[in-house]
Amino acid sequence: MTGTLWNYESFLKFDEHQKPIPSDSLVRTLSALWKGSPQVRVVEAPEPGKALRDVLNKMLEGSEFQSILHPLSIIDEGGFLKGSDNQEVVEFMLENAPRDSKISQIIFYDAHNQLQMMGDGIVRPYVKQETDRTKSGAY
Amino acid sequence: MRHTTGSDLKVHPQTVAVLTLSKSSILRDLLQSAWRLRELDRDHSVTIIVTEDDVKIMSDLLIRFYGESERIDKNNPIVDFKKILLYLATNEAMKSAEVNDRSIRGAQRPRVVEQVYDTLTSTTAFQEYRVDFFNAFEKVKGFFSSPRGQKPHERYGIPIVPIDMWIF
Repeated sequence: MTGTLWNYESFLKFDEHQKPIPSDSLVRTLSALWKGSPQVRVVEAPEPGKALRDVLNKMLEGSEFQSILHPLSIIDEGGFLKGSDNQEVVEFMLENAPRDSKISQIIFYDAHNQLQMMGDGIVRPYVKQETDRTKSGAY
Repeated sequence: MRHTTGSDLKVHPQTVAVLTLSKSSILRDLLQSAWRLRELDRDHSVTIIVTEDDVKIMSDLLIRFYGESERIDKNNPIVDFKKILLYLATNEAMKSAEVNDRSIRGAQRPRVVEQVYDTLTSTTAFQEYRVDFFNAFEKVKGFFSSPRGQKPHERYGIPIVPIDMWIF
């Protein structure tokens, strides 16, 4: 069970006494989030038709992206970047990473839902075995 | 929003993620998307961002359910994570109630239909219980077909326009 809400097909059968198997990762995640108390920042809503760079600037303004040199991931659950090309997002991240940042390559999903990796201006399919684990990765 | 569930990529041990949420998000979405960082309980961390518009909607819902004490200050650029968690859990409960209700109805319907069908096609019901087949069918035909009128106004209803909006 992943926490996904029931639907007609997955709903428990009344007469089979099915018991849901709770997910251990959800509890673990909630506990980790609770302990970490992540910062919740409020930003201006991205205007429709606004350039992707403006949206990203608003999203990342004041975040660790600009102050800490750690690798960064973007997890767009809220759909801020809906309709955008992930490669453009990745180009922005690489261009705007601090000079001495550890970010050197970024993994992303392309328009065909295939994993790609951009580094040194080149995009190539992401193959786990070929990836240098000592380098930074983000997606 | 794709891949916020199910992706399993090994990322740098000190990755910091920017995680966006919206008014439509539920607790499950946050937990699933945050768990893309498999070392969240160690060195991975997240910063959550929400839009001003969505924060207002979140605040309104929290006030409606829990009172003024849960209001989110719209002038503060940082929101209490606990309030976001409370909103997501509340939103999940509301959505869950809706889909569970729909699922139960969906699960019950074929069983009721099966019983009705068995009765209507029973060779004994007509004779033994003197079931008035045609009247019985009138009462249960909604299970087998959606009654629809022949004319547009019978199918879709008549639009009602307030009198002050009439334009001649």
